[in-house]
Amino acid sequence: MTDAAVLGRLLADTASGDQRAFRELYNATSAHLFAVLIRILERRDWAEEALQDCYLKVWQKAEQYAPDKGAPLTWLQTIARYRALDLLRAKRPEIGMPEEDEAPPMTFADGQAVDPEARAVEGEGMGRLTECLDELAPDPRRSVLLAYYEGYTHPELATVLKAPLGTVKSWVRRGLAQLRDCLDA
Amino acid sequence: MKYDNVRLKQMLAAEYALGTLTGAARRRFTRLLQTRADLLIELRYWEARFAPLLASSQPVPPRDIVWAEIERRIQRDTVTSLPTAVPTARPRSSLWIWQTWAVAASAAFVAVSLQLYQRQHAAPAAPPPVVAAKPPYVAMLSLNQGAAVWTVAMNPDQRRISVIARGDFGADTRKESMELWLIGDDGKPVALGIMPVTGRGSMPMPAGVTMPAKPVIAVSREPLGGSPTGLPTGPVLATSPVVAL
Repeated sequence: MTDAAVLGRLLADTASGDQRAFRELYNATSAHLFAVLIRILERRDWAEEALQDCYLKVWQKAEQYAPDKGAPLTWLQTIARYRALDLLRAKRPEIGMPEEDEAPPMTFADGQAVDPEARAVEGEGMGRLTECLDELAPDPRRSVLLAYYEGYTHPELATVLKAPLGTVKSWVRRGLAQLRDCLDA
Repeated sequence: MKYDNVRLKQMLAAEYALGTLTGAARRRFTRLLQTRADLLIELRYWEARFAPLLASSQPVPPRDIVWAEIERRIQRDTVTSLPTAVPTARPRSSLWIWQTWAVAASAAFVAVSLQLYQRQHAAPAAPPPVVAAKPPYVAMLSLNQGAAVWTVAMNPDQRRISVIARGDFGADTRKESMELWLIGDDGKPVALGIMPVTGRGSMPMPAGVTMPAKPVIAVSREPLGGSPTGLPTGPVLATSPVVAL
């Protein structure tokens, strides 16, 4: 388990231009960011490109990290996730969902085929989020988790869930609204 | 779109964090985040609530080539858009005074001025501010009979090079780059980075570069992005000894 205090210090040193600290930060965190990128982008070349972009951004903007933005690793993974979404939308503006019988393009990372719901339950420190997800109806829950883990858009969700676009949109919205009410409760 | 509707605001932020807000709507929300603290707070709420899902991913080590490419790119990164890396450690005001004085002065005069300035501010009259890390090396590079001047501060301890560009360098930075070199005691130039031609910038001092006993820096005109060979390929535009403070 990576120590948040250590990563925080490495980020601070990186912000002052310390390349050795940056290297250490990369060594300690890149596999965690790469996991997020691979998950969403499903292609090694895109994920590597995105990983590069992420760390170049971190090199330039490390001083923007502040503890109120969450744990260092979470901050870094959030950067990675947004970068993956941007890249995915840029490279795949039209829906390019794999056909039913097509082998999934992901073959080199473990655990990728795990159902998102199972993954959510597996994760540690989920606490309140897991409880609130459990309270959602199956369709809204699946929609939210697939969108989060796979980076699916509404039309993509409609394709994988085999439901009309309008229905999927309302699942997502209902899921988020109920999550919000539950998390705030 | 009515961004003041609380529920709508919550949902837009949630869908932005989730990623299902796409296209023009996403771009609009991104723009609004620059000025709307309420939307940013909503977004942070969702990012934080969703974050545990990220922690559940099994780590996947990237190939070594990714780091090699990152390292290559930061080595030659101009970083002119970077804010000064350690803003509290190096007061901007000292750079300003330094810059103003430096324009018409020789490097040696700059050094003396800086020392005077530092001595003034070392006076115990006021409670001491955060102890400033002083740029220990400075140099001035002048072009076109002083029409354009770079003031360069090198701090080997912080591994940082700061540059102030003043005047018209007659360079089209969309087509060419001005590359900074450190000439070692053996006479061999080592690439330090690409110079800004406006404002101020700072760049990391490349790994492995140490200050020679009698450091000299030079700037050459190079293809966009810097010399492809690692040695100057274009004309040397300016050169100057570097003064240790």
